[in-house]
Order: sequence, then C-alpha cells, then structure tokens
Amino acid sequence: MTDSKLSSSSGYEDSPDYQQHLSKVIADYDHPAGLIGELVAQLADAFWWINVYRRDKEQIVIAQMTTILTDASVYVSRNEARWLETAEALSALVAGSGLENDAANLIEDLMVQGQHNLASLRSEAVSRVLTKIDTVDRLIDRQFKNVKLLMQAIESARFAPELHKKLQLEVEQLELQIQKAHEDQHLEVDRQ
Amino acid sequence: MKISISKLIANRSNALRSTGPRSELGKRRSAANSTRHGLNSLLTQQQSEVGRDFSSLVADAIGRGYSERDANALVATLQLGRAVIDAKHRAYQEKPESEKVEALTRREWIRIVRDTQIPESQMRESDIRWVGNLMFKCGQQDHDPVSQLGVKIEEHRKLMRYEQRAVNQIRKAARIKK
Repeated sequence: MTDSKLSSSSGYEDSPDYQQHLSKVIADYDHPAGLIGELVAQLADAFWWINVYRRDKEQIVIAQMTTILTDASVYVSRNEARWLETAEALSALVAGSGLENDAANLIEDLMVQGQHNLASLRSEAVSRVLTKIDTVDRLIDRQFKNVKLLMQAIESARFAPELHKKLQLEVEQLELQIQKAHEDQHLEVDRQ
Repeated sequence: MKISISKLIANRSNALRSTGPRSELGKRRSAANSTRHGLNSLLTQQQSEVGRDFSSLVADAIGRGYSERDANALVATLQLGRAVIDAKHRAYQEKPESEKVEALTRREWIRIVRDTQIPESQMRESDIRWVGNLMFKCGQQDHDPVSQLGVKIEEHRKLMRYEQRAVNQIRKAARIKK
C-alpha cells in the first residue's frame, strides 16, 4: 500500500483477505502512489464489495432454502446443528461440488418430504426473499457505477499533466496569434 | 464488557424512568447520541478543512497540474469517499460474542425480567413485557446469521446515497478545468 494512502479507522485493511485483494488491484495498476494510489484503493474497495454482495446474495437464498426444507429458521428451531448441516449440504449442492453420502441422504429425504426439487426449492426461496435480494442487487449495481466513475477519475488524474501541458500550449498559441494580429495591424497602419 | 442479565435489566428499566441529562457536558454528549457515521458533516465541510493526512495528496494533485483550489476540492472528495468506505466496513463488522444478548425464548426473557427486577424500579407488568420482548428481539437478531446479514445489508442501503454522492463528486473534481 502506498504511504500517502488515507488512513482508515475501522481496521478492515489489516484483514489478510482484504490486504491480498488490495495488493492485487494495486499491482494491476502498476503500484501507483499518491493521488492515483488512493483512487485505485477506492476502486479496489468497490470490487471487494461486489464479491461480498454476491456471496451474501447466495447465502441469503441458501439460508431461505434451508428454512423451507427444515421448516424452521435457525433461531426459532433451536436446532442449530441440523440447520447448519442442511445449509452446508445445500451450499455444496448449489455450488456443484460433490456431497458425502450422509449429506446427500439428508437433502434427498428433506426434498422428498417437502415435495421439492432443487429448482423449485430455489425459486420458492428467491420469491420469499425478493426484497432483500433486490436491495443486494441495487448495492451491486451501485458498485459497478462506482467502478465506472472511479476509472474515469483515474484516467483524468493520470492524463492531467499531459492535458495541463496541452492547455498551456494552446494558451501560448492563442497569445502568439493575438500578438501577431496586433503587429500586422500596426504594419498595416504604418503602410497606410 | 459483558454485564449480568440482572444488571442489564436494571439498566434498561432505570433508563425508562430517566428524565435525561442535566449537566451541560451530559447534554452535549447526548446530543451526539444519534450520530451514526458523521458523513453529513463531511458533506457540508469546507474544502479548506482537508485533514493532515491529505496534505501529501494535495501536493501530488498540484504537481499533476490541478490548481490549488481544485486540488483541495479533489482531495476533500477523496476524504469523503474514504469516510464512506470506513462506515461501510464498520457496518459489516461482526458483533463481539461478549456483546451479544443470550438467545432465549420470549417467555424465558419475560420470566427472567420478572424474577430479577429490582424492587426500586417499580416496573409494571406492561414494562416487564416490553423489556422482555426487547431482550428477546436483541437475542434473536444477535444469534441468527440471516437476520444479522439483513441488518448489515440495510445499513449499506442507508449508506448508498452518501456513496453515490461521494463517487460522483470524486469524478467531477478529478476533471481538469479549462
């Protein structure tokens, strides 16, 4: 991280996952320092939240699928172990990774009891948590907009010296043109 | 610091009978009770109030061709952006176990409140139920991961308008003015 980076007060930047993510994005931008370093760090944060929100969205759906299957929320059921076991198995199933025999049997039994298949269960879960999912989608959308705007800001800051030089040259050229016009005018007056 | 249930209940029942702070210091302190993230004050902050940590960024911006005024404005918006990022991460932090309220049923909580209330508080049955319900809801929220996630997402939803404003201002301030 660059030394001129603004200090944060929450301590989240000490987390190894966040550090790794931040270093990766900063490395992608050739380790900028100062102003651009801070802009890139804020851009990295937007990417970080996109990943977090996506993971949370999936977690909300899986939690709801588990609640439907076990017919109780994790708190109300007071049978946390069973709820978590079902949630873990469902999570693995949705992710497409293989299930152990016990977990596969558990899910199969619960599906048969509730007359569900994976697709119907998922669609029912999604319909129940639609408001929450909608909020998460809005948050993800906001992050994409942030990424776009921050990228534009980085480009502006990166090309600011060149643009500044170009503007200076344009001003000098205009001044020369005015000076030349004045001289021509004087010459014309003298000739007349 | 974890406190006992009876102490917690006594605090809450006493709080119900409170008439508010009396000293000037107490009044000033309680005036800041509803301060959540302080982002509104940053939004109205003058550009000259750029923090000390930012002075090197102002110098860097000036070196890149921004005028002193524009450099200050740009860095002030970055300061706001950073404050929003901090607030977002704070909202997503896990509550420490020691601060969580025990996960008991509504009935259990009401019974505990009834059994452990101090006589001086002179709580009525409706107060006992109110405190019991409050404790139950806190316990439910503290121990249900889905509910906790919902709270975090809601906090981020509330921060979204600050985020939008901060990033739009950064984009606008980063443009070199002709």
